[in-house]
Amino acid sequence: MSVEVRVVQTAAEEAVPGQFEAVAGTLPGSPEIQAERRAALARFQSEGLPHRRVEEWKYTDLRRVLGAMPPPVQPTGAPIGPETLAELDAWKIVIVDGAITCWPEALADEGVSVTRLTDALAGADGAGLLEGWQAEARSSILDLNTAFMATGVVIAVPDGVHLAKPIHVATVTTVPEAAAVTLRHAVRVGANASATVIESYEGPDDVSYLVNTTNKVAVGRDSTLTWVKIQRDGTAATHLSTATIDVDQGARLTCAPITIGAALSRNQFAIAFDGEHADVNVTGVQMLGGRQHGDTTLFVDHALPNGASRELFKSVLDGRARGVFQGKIVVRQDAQKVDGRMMAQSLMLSDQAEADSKPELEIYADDVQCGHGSTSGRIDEDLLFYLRARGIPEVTAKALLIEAFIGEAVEAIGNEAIAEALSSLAHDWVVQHAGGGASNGGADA
Amino acid sequence: MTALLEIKNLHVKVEGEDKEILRGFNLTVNPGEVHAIMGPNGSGKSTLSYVLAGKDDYEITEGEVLYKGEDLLEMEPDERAAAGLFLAFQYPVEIPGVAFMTFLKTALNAQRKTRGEGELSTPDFMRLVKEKSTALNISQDMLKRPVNVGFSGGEKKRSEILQMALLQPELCVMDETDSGLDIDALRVVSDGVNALRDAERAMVVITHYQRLLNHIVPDVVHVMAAGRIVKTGGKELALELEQSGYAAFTEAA
Amino acid sequence: MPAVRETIDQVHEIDVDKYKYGFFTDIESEKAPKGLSEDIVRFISAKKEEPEWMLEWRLEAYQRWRTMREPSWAKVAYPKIDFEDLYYYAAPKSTPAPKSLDEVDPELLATYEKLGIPLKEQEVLAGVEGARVAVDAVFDSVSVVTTFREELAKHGIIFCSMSEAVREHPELVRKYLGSVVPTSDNFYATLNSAVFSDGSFVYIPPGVRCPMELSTYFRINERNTGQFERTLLIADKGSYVSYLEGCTAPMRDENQLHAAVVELVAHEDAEIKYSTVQNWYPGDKNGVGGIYNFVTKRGDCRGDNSKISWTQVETGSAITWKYPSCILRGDNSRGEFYSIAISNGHQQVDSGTKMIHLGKNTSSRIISKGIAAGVSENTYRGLVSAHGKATNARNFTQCDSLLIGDRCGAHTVPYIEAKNSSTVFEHEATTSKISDDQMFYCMQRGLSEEEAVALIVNGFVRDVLQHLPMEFMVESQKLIGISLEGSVG
Repeated sequence: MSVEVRVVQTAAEEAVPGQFEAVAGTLPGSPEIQAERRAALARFQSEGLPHRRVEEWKYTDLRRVLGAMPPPVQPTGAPIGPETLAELDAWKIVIVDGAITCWPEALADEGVSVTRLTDALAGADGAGLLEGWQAEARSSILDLNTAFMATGVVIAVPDGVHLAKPIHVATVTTVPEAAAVTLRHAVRVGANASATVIESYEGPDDVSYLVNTTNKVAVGRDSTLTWVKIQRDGTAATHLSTATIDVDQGARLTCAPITIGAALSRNQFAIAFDGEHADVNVTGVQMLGGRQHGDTTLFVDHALPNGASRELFKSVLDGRARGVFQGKIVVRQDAQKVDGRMMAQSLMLSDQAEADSKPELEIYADDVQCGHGSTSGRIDEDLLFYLRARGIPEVTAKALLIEAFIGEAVEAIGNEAIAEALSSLAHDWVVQHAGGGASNGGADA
Repeated sequence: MTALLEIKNLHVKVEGEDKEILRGFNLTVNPGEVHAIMGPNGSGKSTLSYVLAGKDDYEITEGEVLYKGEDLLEMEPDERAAAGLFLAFQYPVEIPGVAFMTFLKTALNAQRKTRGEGELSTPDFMRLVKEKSTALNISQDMLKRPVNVGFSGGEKKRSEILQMALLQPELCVMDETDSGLDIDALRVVSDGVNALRDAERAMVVITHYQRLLNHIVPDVVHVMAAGRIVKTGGKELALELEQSGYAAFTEAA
Repeated sequence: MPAVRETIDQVHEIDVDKYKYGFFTDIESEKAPKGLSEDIVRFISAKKEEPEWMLEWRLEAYQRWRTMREPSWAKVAYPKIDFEDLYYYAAPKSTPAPKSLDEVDPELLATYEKLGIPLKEQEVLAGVEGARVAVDAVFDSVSVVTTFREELAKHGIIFCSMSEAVREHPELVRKYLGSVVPTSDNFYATLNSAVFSDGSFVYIPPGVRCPMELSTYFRINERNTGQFERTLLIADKGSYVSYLEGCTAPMRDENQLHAAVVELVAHEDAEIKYSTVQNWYPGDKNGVGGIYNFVTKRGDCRGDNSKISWTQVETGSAITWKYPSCILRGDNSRGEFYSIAISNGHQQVDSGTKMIHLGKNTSSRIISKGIAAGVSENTYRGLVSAHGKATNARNFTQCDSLLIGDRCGAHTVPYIEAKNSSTVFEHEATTSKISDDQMFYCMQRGLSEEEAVALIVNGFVRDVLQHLPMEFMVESQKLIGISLEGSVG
């Protein structure tokens, strides 16, 4: 990270200390936590928002694009359910404008413990939420989150517990004007256990609210976690997300970031192998149109031998959207026999769209099989012609091909019900966007 | 009787290039007729099939193509398909991620819709596919895969004929359908094609070799060279060609 | 497989830890005092009898450089360079320009002999008739030998030192110098603009196909001397030129900075092929000494249908920081980058290319082969970008890395930026080691471990080697063997 002497603060940066003082008294946590909040705030103030001179933020210059910092949300707790995955049979936790409105009391019967962030921060466990973040997950956005974190869920799946139904943490924003929702979650899966956790985000179009959400995930020995994050925030929203994920020996993690919404979004994931023979499968999709900017940045740290990771990331870009994918596979010294494969593909539906891809390999062990690939282009004319020669109209043919393109990533999640729900979301998006000519800039939102 | 297909003095070149590939091509096909077009490599056979199906990349500089008396060249590829024109591709493309069954159903229903017919119900559709695929020796496993993905050369050709059987076109254009087929596969494919022959349906069989015409016996044989038809005759012309080769015709062109 | 045999022989011939080209040529030098100031810039310019506009150009660059900071983004680590502790000018003992080889300092000729150059250049230097490679030998910053000038002149080709070009062809130099790499470009290029010592100048007139490969040998010969070569090559409409650049350096125990700038301009329908073999002193087995090679190389495909192809074999230097790039400005223009980068011992390589697609229907191709051994770090860093108006831009990139041993690092850092939907970009990268099966197979057939590695590595880089002119290809195969010496067992 380059160190730069910063003189001028942006309006967004300037607003932060005042906003903090205004709510400091109401933020949850023990005195130690309050001290951590102030320390994080101080770090944010000295570092400022991430900008393009910070290599990891090269394509997403928050200093430039984040014009204003919305004030912390006033929780309303309106009784409203999520639209996203509403049909899915799951244990629902609903957070409306920063207030938890739906809580799955019966989960305890399954042996799974869920705790509100406010309770977690008050207890001895609170510090655990702040410690152990990987370096690649740290940023001034995480600091901002630590300073303001107000709501969240700590999910703990004890050893030997296999939870059949997914847990769905739905974040719904209804605010009529700009506000910031700051969430801190944690998911801990013990040994020989399994669970599926879905996070979803949605909110009103045309309100420039901000969601800053973080998650600290740990997958225990020989356990399985499927973690899906579906971001459908409103068209004017900013969505910032950070996760640090530790994967223990023999564990299997599937991580699926799906980005559809928000004017500006950044997903930052740092995944580290804490044990051998673990298996990580990252499968992501972003579908962007209009002037949306979506950035998914992923670090996979093979610190130990015999790990395997697969990363597949698909972007479909329409209008003047800009899709960014950065993925870095690191193989540390002595982490022999690592198998790491990353593929990033962009499908461009409009001439004004932009796809930026930076798949990186940083390899320090010799007996490894690592590779990455990146492609970008528009819909293959030969495939389109074949479909049309069979009588399928152009728009339908395009939709078929776009859905097939996304389908590979959706199927890799390995959960039929979720794949079906996502396919339906993808279908809705494609129906809106396949109409534009392959070569002209589809007029969009 | 209106001809099904009338090609008059057709001149075509690849977009952006100077060289003409079709140079005054004429052909009239009536309902129920099977025409074979034979010619050496580079004579323009595949270009003809692509132009009929409406592929971009070609520029028509002169001439016209009438299909059932209407201007074919004005129609989009999917409109041509819905109007009953079918091209069996020489090299069918693989379409990863699109299930073969989804593809077949989408295509069939799209055509029915364009023609103002109702959509086929899923059970009816399944029954139809099962019936047609069994005849062509197409396994259930093949049907479960994405379109043409992982199909062998022979399987791809059988998949083309299956589509033809399902879509029941009025004009079938087959581009080198015999290429890459062993003798058993050739028989299966030919049987599939012959089963579709009737008094209304016409076929244009494009081939380099005579052997396909032992199985699909044509009414008319055309020899194509350097972008136009240089000789027309009965089915015996194919045998003559097999003996003498294309050289004489290439020179004549 | 004679080439492989040769590699093996070469490996045997060489004592471990003795850099073959590490020797010292004792020629009296004329130096400017250490450090950089406006006065030094004036001194250099005066020494070279430059016109006023050239001095102004240098001074402007110098003022700008004063405000700039060293780049820190590359994956290389080295002690901070004290730019006040370097010499910025050193010329060999001043003698009138030699009219023939007889007049050349015999020590210089002996140096070439010691280099063991197996190329036609040696014949050229020895005066053998019929040798058709023109050599503009740069010996510590000033051109002292230029051959074949007359034959080239017949075709209207200008091939001379930069100093001479500034004096004799000011209109061409003023028009093109800094037009590809502006004085403001980056820290090292700006430094070069202020203090560049000498280098080669090539101009190929319209429609001329240069009848021979043009070749330059660089050597660094003075203790603590910054080497600031400046090369400018212009291929006018419809012309063609192939240019070879090769480097060796004597052993030194102190780091030496090299900050060269190479600018290529290809006009309409012109083609430039630029090949480099870089084999400077990489430092000793403890990582002491070695050249810091901070080079800015860029080609501008200025005209429609123009083509620039970079081929490089990088085996030397303690640190390499180098990204030969192509600006694909003309419609239908094409850029190519073929690279072999080998790092052993404590070497650090951060190299790659930039392909900037601006014109319509432009295409580029990148093949990079990185081989890391010892405790070295080997990074490919490359940018492929297509701007909004660069319709139908095409790129194919293949980056393969090979690790020999478990204490080195091989990294791939591509930046891929597609700004319109008609671009088709494909990028592939792999990292692996030499497979045990391949090694076993070779050894079962009687090859030693080292021979097997040399054989397999030469196979691994084959796609790139074949883009080199024949003489360079042979030399490169030897270099690969030498460079990997001691990497196994």
